[in-house]
Amino acid sequence: MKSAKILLLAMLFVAPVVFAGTVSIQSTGVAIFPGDLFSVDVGVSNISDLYAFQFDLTFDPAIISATAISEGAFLPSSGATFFFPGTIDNIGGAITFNADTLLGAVSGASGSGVLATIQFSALGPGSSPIGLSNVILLDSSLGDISAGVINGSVTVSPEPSNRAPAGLIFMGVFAWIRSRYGVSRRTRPATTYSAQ
Amino acid sequence: MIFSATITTTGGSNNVSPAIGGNAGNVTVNILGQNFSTSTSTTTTVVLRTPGQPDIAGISPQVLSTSQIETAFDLLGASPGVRDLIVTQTGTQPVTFPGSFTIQVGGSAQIGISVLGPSNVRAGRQATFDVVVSNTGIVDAPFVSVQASDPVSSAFGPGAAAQALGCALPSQTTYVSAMRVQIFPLTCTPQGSSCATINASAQKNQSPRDCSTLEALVQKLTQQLRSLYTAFYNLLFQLNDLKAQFENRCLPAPGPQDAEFCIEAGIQIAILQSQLQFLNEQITQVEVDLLIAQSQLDICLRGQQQGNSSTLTTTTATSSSTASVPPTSANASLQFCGVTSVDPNAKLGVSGAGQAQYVTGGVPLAYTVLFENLPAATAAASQVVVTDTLDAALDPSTVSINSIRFGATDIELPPGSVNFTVSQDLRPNVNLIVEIVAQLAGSTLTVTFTSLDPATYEPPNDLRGFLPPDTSPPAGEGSISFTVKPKNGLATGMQIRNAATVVFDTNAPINTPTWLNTIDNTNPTSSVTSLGASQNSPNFTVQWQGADVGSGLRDFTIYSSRDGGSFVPWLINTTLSQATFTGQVGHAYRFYSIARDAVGNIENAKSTPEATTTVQAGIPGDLNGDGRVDCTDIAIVKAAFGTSAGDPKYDVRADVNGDGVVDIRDLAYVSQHLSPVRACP
Repeated sequence: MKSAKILLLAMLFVAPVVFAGTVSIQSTGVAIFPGDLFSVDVGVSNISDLYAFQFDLTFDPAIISATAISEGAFLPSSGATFFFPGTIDNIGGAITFNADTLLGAVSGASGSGVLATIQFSALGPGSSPIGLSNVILLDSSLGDISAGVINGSVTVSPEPSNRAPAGLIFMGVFAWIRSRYGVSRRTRPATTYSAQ
Repeated sequence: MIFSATITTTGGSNNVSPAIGGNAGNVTVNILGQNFSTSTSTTTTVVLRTPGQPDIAGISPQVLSTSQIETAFDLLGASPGVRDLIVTQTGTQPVTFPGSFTIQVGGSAQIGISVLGPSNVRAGRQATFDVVVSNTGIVDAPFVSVQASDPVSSAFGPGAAAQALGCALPSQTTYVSAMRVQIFPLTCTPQGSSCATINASAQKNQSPRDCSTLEALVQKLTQQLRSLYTAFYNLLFQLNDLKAQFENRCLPAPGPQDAEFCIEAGIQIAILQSQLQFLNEQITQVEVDLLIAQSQLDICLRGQQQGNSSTLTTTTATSSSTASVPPTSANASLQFCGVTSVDPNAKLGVSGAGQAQYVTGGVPLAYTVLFENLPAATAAASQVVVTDTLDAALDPSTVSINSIRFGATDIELPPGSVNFTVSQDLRPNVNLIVEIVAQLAGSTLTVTFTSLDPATYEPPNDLRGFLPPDTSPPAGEGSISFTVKPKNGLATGMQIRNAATVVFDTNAPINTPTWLNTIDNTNPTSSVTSLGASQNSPNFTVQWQGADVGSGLRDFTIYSSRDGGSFVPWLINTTLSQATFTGQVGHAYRFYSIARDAVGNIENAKSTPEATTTVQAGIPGDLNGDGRVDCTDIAIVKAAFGTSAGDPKYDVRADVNGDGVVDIRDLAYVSQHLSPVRACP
């Protein structure tokens, strides 16, 4: 009996929290170098009856800089929406109060998809965490939907050594060599997004 | 100290002061009469009486003199109307003051504060500032606290003292710091009596300002500028010489032997021009730096002579005696500047409101006449005569000399002191007796200080005098402080000017500057803007406005009533002109406003509402109450999205769920009720 109690307690402690869905940072898998423009999706998976959502997003402003936010396709798949792009703060490294809601008395969206897409510009080499916070998911009864959150990160690779600052003349020469001999950026060391 | 005083009393209809009181709290009353028994074995009772109503007994009557009794009545909830006041002392017949007191509905305390003090203080000297607190309301102001502070200089010493004028002495005077003095609590009786004067010594910072750093900087920059100009002109001369040679040998075309010279000269000219340009920029910069440094030095040197400007700020506040009486507060400030030389003979008065120094006619005006035997004087002053001819707008029968000071002597006098003789024995420090005679003849108040030989009680035959040259301040300084009420019924805008003359022994009279105040006897007016018959949201905006002739509006108290109930203060002494009222669905609300002007005049009491409305069960999501949920409602949420209560852009209408944050929960709520469904910008 005693061992059964211990087993029950152990099960309680180790039982995973079950969410009705997951909101995550999703990568596009391309390599990034300083000066590149790239995008990050905020996605949702295994959700049911999503009527409205809101989230904040944080990043390292020394590594990347946000340029735009656009609505994802997931929520509009269930009807007309009102999308409210968040406020970009490239000094503090945050985009706050990104929000989207369906309009009228309709059912919410179910399944998986992209909630919003954030455009970034790579500033310098390094790794920037991309965090989600203040995440609110509401169903068509305007009740909260519990959801797990998976943050991500992005790594910006340094320029190859032959692109080290050596004056505009040399940069022009390298540009000519690249065009002449087909040396592309894809041959440089790869950089990827990763979920944390 | 030998002291004798004759207290003048008033008779007739003014025997009870104040003659009115509000039924919202306690009201302290002074009864003036004759032959009151001051014996401790005598029991004194005072009641307010009218047929059909219970007597209202005075609380712990105090027989202050044979002519004055003070007591307080608890009028909270008492039936309004005229009352007889009856004084009974054991062994004597009751004395009735028929119809001498009227109980009014409501009312409140309205305290005011003003600072009297010199606008110029001699650098390094102490000065005295009087802080006068008054209550122009019709209910006692209990638990009044007063704070005086000077944020710039060390203003107060531990000797900060308090003097009572017609009400209880403050029970506690706290020396908080060199910057702040706190007096608490006072009870200020209603109807305009100045109830306390706090004497604080303000002292300018005695440490002289150090201007040596700025002087060195100016010297350095001047030298630098001189060197730059020297270098500039040297180069300029070189350039001009070279240019002249170049023009001779190279223009219009160089000869074969000059070709090399012309090339080198051309390059050298370019270099010299470049160097001159650089020097010119440096000169400009140094000139600007020197200008700034010189200006700072001038200010610093002036400051050495004049000291810094400083501001004495006072605030006073009272707690409410009942839930229906709003607490009140007031503040005043006086800017003064330290200077090396000031006119020692000055007339100070109530600072009042605004440039015209508005005062309300119900409050006695306080004046102080200052005089000084200058440090350079060759002898002590034996006799000083101060004469103050009161303005025709002032009521001589209300003059009350409150204090007389000279040297280290400070004589505080009871209320109403006006015709009296006071003798002050200066022995053993000085072998003199000073006789001070105060007389009011018509509208001329004269106070005469006379030095007397103790042996003969006659003026001394030698150079002895009570006021020595002021080489060790304040030994050679003196002052007289008194209050006097403006006459009743003065028109708003009436100017009251007052000045005094001071005569030292046989010298020519010295005229003090004239002090000006302007009367504001007009109550302000205000009203709440009418509201729609119904509100779709429990949170709706209430607006009000007001006007005032004279000193200008200070603030408003907005009263509200729910479902026909009694009016209670919603916003107290607010300077806003609108605010969001939070009601409840299904209830009716009424509003009116009471304005207060800068001198404390209160708008006449109101009994009828100025705005009435009912909060109806609104359409869900209809934030602007236009009867539909559309993109304009979405726009309200959008404009405030992401804000929290307290943020400038926060809109309580957009916070649909009232959680203090405008977020997706509010946006989704309105979006869900959008009809017809369509995209919103």
